[in-house]
Amino acid sequence: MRIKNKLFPYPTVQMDNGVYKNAIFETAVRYQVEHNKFKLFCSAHINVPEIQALIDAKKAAYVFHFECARTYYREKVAFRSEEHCETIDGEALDRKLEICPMIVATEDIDSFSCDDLSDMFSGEEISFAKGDIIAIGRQQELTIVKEQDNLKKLSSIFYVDSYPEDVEYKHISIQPDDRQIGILIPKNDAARFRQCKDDPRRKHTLFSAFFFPALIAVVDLMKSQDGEQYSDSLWYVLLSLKGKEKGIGDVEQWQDRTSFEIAQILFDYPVTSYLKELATISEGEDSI
Amino acid sequence: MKLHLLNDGALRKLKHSVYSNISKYQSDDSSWIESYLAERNNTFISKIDDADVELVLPRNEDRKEFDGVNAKLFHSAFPGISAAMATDERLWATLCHGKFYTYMHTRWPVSVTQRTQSFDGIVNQRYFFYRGDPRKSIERNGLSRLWLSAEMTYDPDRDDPYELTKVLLQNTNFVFHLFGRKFSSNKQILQGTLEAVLALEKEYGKPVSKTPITEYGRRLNLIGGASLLDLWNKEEAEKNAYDFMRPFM
Repeated sequence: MRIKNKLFPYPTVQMDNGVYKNAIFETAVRYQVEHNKFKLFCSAHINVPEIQALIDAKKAAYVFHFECARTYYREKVAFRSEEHCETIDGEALDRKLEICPMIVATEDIDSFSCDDLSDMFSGEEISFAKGDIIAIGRQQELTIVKEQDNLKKLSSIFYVDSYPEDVEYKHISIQPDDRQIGILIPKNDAARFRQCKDDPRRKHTLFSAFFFPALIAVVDLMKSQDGEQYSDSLWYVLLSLKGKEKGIGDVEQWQDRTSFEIAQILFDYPVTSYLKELATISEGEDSI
Repeated sequence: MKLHLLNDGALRKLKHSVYSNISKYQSDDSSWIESYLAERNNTFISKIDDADVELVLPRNEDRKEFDGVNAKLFHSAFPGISAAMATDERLWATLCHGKFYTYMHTRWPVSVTQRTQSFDGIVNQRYFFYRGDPRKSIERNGLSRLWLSAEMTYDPDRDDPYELTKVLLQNTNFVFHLFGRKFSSNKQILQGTLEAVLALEKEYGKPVSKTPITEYGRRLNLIGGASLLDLWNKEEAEKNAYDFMRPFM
C-alpha cells in the first residue's frame, strides 16, 4: 500500500499538505534477519498533543501496514507505545516489502479539535470514523534479499545466449526477464564466446567485453522512465541493493551520475582488472 | 524425494519455443516434454517435497467443474510451497509440463481458443508466467491459481477448511473480480466476503451472481480510498459484504 499526495475528507497529518501548521509524524523502520525471520523495529512519534491524547485514550493507534504484492502478504500491526518489534516469516516475503506507517482511528471519534489545525478548519469540530487515517508517516520500501538466493553473485544476474535461428542481428542486446538479464549475441559470436568463457586468462577481458557494457545499458534502463516496471525483478532488486552497499544510494539518486560511472562502481572498476589482465598477456607474449 | 525443477536456461528455452511447439501441446503424445524434463542439465533439485497426488480431470464442457476439489487436492498435497516459493515461475512451469501435464492438457486444452486468444497465448498464460506482473501471472497459471485460491481461503477453523476455496472457484468472475483488487490480499476481507456469499446462497437457495461481487469490489475500493479497510476483522468484513449484496438476491 502506497499513499501518495492523497486528499482525505477529513484532516490528515501528511508531509507538507498544509492541513496542520506544525505537525510532524516521525516514523522509522529498521530490520534484521535471523534464521529467515525478518525482525522489524518500528518507531513512531507525533508532536501534536491532541492526537497523542487520542492514542492514550485508546481511540487511535499507531498502525504500520506491511505489504508484499508478489506474495499477497498484507498485514497490519497496531500499537500505542512509541516502539514496537514485529517479526515476519521470510517465506511470506519476496524482494520488496512496502511499509506504510499511520495513525488510525480505532473507534468513531466525535468532536475532535486541535490548535495546530490550519485556519481553514478553525472553529470546526472534526469527527473521525473507525479506520480513518489521522496521520501518515514516511513510507518505506525494504529490499528483501534472502541468504539462500542463488543469484546473489552480481555477475550471475546475467546469462549469455545467441539470438534465435531466424534472427540475423549483428549487434549485442539485452533482454531483461523476471530473474536475470539476457545478453543476446549473434550465433557465430556465441560459439566464440563458449570457446573463451572457461579460459581463466580471458576472464576480465570477457567481463569487460560483455557484462560491463551490458550493465551500462541496464543502468540506463533502470534510470529511465521505463525502469519502474522492472523494479520487482530480482536483478533490479539486487543491483539497487548493491548501489546502496557501494554508497551511491537508491536508484532515484543515480540520476546525478552517468550510467557509465555507476556501472563501474557496481562492478568494482572492471577496466582496471581488464588492463592488468592485458598487461599480463602482453608480458607473456614478449617473453616468447 | 524432492521436486526437480527446470533451471533458468531450460525454462527460457521452453518458453521461447512455445510458438514452434504448438502442435506438440495440442497432441496427446507427451513424450517430447517428458524427455526434455528428463535431461539432467535442464533441472535442479528444489527444497519442495514431491507428492503422490492426482487431480480430477474435467469430464465435460464445464472444465472448471472440479477446480474447487483440485485446489484442495493440490494445496494439501504440497504444504511445503511457501508464498515466496510460489512467485517462482520455474516451479509452476515445471509442474504444468511434468507431473500435471495430463491435467493441464484437459483443463486448459490448446485446441480451444477463448475469444481472440491465440494458441500460444493459452500456453503462455496457463503453462508459464505470462505477464511481467507476477501477481497477475500467479492468478492465471493453470496450477498456481489453484494453489493461490486455496492458500488465501484456507480456514482451519471450519469443518472443511477448504469450504471457502470451493465458493471462490465456483464462479470464474469471483476469482477475476476479487483477486483483481488489492484488498483481496487481506485474508480477513477475502474470507469474510466469501462467508457472506455462502450465507446468502444458503438463505436464498441460489448462487450469488457476478453483479453483486463486482459492485461490492468497487465499493470496497471506494471505502479503502478514505479509510483503512485492514482494520476490519473477518466478522465485520462478512457483515459489510452481506448487507451490501443482500438486495441483489
